[in-house]
Amino acid sequence: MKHAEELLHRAQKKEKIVIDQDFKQSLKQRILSTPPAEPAYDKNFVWRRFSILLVPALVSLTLFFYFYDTGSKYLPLKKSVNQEQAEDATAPKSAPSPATAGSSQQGNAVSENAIDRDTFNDEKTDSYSRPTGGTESGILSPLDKPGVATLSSSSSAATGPETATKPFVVLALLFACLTIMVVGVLILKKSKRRK
Amino acid sequence: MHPDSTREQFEQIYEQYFDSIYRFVARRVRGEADVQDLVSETFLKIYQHLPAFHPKHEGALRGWLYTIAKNEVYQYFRKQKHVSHTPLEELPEIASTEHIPDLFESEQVSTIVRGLLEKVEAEDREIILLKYFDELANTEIAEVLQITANHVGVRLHRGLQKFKKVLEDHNLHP
Repeated sequence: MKHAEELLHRAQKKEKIVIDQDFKQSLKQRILSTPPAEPAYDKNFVWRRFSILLVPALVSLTLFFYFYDTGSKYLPLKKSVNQEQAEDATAPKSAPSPATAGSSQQGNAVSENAIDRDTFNDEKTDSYSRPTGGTESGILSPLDKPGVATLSSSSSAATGPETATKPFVVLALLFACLTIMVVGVLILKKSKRRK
Repeated sequence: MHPDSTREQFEQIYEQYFDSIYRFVARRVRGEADVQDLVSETFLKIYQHLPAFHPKHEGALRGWLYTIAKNEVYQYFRKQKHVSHTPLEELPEIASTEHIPDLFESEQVSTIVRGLLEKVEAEDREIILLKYFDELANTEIAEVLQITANHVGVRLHRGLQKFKKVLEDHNLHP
């Protein structure tokens, strides 16, 4: 290894590169006759950095605020289930809906069923037999249970799968903008390193 | 920075570094006209960007100057699409019986060594040239090649091993 290094040093010492002194002097005069200019690429660099970062940032913010304002209607699925359960619990106080209404007897059976389900674990009384009785009477089928019925027949639940995908679209857009920003930063870093 | 102070600073840099920058370019590019063009472009850029240059540490200036020169040379090669710095047919033939002491005394040692360096990979060759021909410190090489000083050490060691292997292949070992 040492011999290789010595050989390289020797080669450097013996190197013959002739420098034209006229060229050296004329170049110096030529350069000094031009005024030193501000580097143009610095401004371009700053502008490019801002344009790459600013555009996705603005898009992200616009999307965020747009869906922040109108976001409540894009959370219908969970809310509708809760609302329906709350409505079921208070069903006896209100008039029976046309969807479940066949008679006032059916409305009572539904409300009793809901109350019994809620109190079943606490009371363990003969209330367990009441839904069975209801079923036997042919008024309630298993699909007519409140929870199932609201999910399948509610109009808001019907639009649930459609609207539930929208937050994912928003997230995808935000993720895309974020990716653009990250890639932009990486490209800028690389271009800066080259300079 | 005031224009006059820029002018003075440039004159100082020019006098101090012109020869070494010229040699740096001449080692990599063939043809005096091309070398002079590249050196002109290099110093013009140095002069134009000098007001915006603020050295962070001692020795940063030299690294910066060589970086500008290196970029000019790389840009030239990209335009010319040259791969080899030195056409191999221009190199003198190396006698297989030649040994290191004979080579040391040879007047053509520089040309022969440059020819042998062509057999080393471009990445390793560049670092050897910067270290032994341009006589840059590891930190300055790191600045020029945009790598760490530790990485320079590792790559230099690897390059020397490969160069030694080339010498052995040509029976040019002591």
